[in-house]
Amino acid sequence: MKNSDDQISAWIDNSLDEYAQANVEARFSKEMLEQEKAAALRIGELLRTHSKVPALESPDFFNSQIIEQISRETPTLVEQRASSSEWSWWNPRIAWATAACVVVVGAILFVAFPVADSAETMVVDVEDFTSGYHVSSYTSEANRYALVWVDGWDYIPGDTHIQ
Amino acid sequence: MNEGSTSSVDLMPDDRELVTLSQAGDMQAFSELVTRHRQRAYAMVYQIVRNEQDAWDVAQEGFVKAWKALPRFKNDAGFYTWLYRIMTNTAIDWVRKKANRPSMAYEDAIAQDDSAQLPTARIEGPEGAMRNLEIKERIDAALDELSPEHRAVITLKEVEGLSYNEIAEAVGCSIGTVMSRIHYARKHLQSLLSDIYHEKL
Repeated sequence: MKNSDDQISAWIDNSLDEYAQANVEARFSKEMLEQEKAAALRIGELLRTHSKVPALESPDFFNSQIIEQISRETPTLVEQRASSSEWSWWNPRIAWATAACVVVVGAILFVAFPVADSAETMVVDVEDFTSGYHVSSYTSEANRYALVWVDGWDYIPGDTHIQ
Repeated sequence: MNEGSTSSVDLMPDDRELVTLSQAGDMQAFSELVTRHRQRAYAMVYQIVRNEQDAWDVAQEGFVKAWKALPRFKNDAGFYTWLYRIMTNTAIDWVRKKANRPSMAYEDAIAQDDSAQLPTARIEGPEGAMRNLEIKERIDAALDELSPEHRAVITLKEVEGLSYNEIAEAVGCSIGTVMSRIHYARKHLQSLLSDIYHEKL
């Protein structure tokens, strides 16, 4: 809000909040505000009544000139937008095709190179003790054995409990 | 404003759909947007440039600018408000450039002198029609005396019926500036048209 005069115009157009509106009404006489409002409304009426805009002539030609100008000035832009539109249309298809290829190749590899001993399960537990020892374990359910490999120990102390 | 459909889409799409298609490069969709908004855009531009041929050229320039700026337009906003802003700025720029051209300024000066003499020089024929013509020319001359910025806000308010918020958005200024410009424009027009104004009251 720049000054009180500007507020009068906003008051005339009912564009003030309640506080500002009350402020204007307190600062200026009702008679003066009504005169300002009548004058503003009159000017508005004059503009609307006597400022008739002629209809746009040859509207189709108007359009065709715009399209021609756009094509002339921005041919690459039109092509780019069209091609980017095609690319965005193809994107999901490319993603799905890639995913399908991965699944097919994975299936072929699985069939061609089966796991040598599917019954054997390998469990590797690596534990970094404060002393720096590493323990690994291998188990085979098919052959019913378990191998424990301890790095950093020459032997397993008798008081060490291994689960 | 739908003047007719040139779109290939059977069901009439709304502006948002047409904007999306246009952003993807669909010229036919953009042509449909032009068809929908050309008369209002032309009218608004005309109120600022005050000349039919100029309004035609400026409105076309505005639509071309809109096409170029479409990729940056966020489609959740109102297309016409956005277009209004482009048209208003294009028209204001055009008037400024025209004012800077000496030859054009000279032509304007002649035109203004002519219109100022019209009310007294052309009193003939049916009195009412002549009086209306006189008033129109006086109003045109008064509007010509306003800066393009003031002309834009008073036209958007009084002729287009936009709110202060919409005008601020269309012109790209604060509401305080809109209030100030509307107040100044009204006062200026009142002083220039005081005889007509008092006669009609």
